[in-house]
Amino acid sequence: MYYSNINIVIADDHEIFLDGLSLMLSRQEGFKVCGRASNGQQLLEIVNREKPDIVLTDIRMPVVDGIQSTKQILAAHPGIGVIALSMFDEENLVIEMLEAGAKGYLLKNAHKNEIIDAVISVYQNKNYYCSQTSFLLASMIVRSKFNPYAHQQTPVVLNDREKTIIQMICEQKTTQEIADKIYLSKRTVEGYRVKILEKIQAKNIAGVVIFALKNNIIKEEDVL
Amino acid sequence: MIQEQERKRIANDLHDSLGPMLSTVKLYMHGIAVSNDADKQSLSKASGYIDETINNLREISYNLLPSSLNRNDLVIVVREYISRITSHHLLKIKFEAAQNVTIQKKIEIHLFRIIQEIVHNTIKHADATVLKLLITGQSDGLFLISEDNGKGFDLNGTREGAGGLGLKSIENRCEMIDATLKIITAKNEGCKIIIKVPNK
Repeated sequence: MYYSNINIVIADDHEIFLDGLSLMLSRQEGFKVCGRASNGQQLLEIVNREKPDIVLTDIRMPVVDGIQSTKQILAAHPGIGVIALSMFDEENLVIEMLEAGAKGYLLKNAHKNEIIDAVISVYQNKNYYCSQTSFLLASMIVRSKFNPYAHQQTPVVLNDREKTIIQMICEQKTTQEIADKIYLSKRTVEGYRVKILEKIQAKNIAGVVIFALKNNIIKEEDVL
Repeated sequence: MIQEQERKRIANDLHDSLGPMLSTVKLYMHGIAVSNDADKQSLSKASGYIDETINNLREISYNLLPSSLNRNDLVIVVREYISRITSHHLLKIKFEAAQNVTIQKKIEIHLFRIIQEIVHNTIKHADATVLKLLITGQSDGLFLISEDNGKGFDLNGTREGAGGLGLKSIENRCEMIDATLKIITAKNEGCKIIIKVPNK
């Protein structure tokens, strides 16, 4: 899909990382990097001036951190989609970012395509969870004050078969394994998967696990 | 506690310097457009190695500082630790925790380190196939019990020898939290460890 003029501001205290990220994003058709900040204070200034669609920000930054700046950005411009950029063992900080109002998070070493995917999802007002989300982080998200389904108007209705398939997806079963287990063709299961992801607005397994935990389709003990 | 602080410092250093650097390299590599298949393959291989390096870094940093303890109960963190371990070791670990058990926040890190040490020792030395771990609360205190079906060892010999570092570390941790430690083992008899943290 082609998107026109998604304006993005990026923030990180590692200059070289900003360079790399900025180069990668600006090469993407329809994306425009309209500002870059090396701390949270600068980020606030640039956001107030540029009013971008998306902010991609590091969490641990000098002067003002990503959590504080996210709160302030969203207080002034609730329409901006904030995506947190995290290092691997920052589960606690990711939770704080989500509670501060970020709509998604990415590991800094995420694949280029995933970064693009996350920007587009959040631009469309959907949440985005990094595909490398651990079960621990998923359960922390569900226990947190962050409510991903708050803006959803109609509740998601799933039939028993869909719920069974969701459980098996959470058990990390492949489409073939699911097909064998419930006596359906691989293609049919494939179709279910697509439909389920669409219904619950998930982009990847992380989204499915969070949905399933939140809606008691699976329990914490099943995955941890 | 000085040791914990030092670990934290090393973990943060790894985190702040190496992590972003590796991520940056990856970003640049994905920015290279190649049409040649062989080049494409080299690029994807190199990118795979970077991922592997980041994963190693993640593992090292986790062992230095299990930061998830801040927001999660010990039981959940231990469960996750065990699922990490069993995904690349053959040892089967059965972990059980009583529902009603309450653990003081400040001793959690020590109990976690003790569990890490027990698991590590069992994998390295015990030749065991199963390790059972149990956390339970009794009226007089909290119990951490481990039992493996390995080859056991000569307790006094190990204590005096150079190989007793892991054991020493468990003893030190127990001392720090005023816990009593009992180790029951003999050659070919497996090993059972009972740690009791008295109620305050």
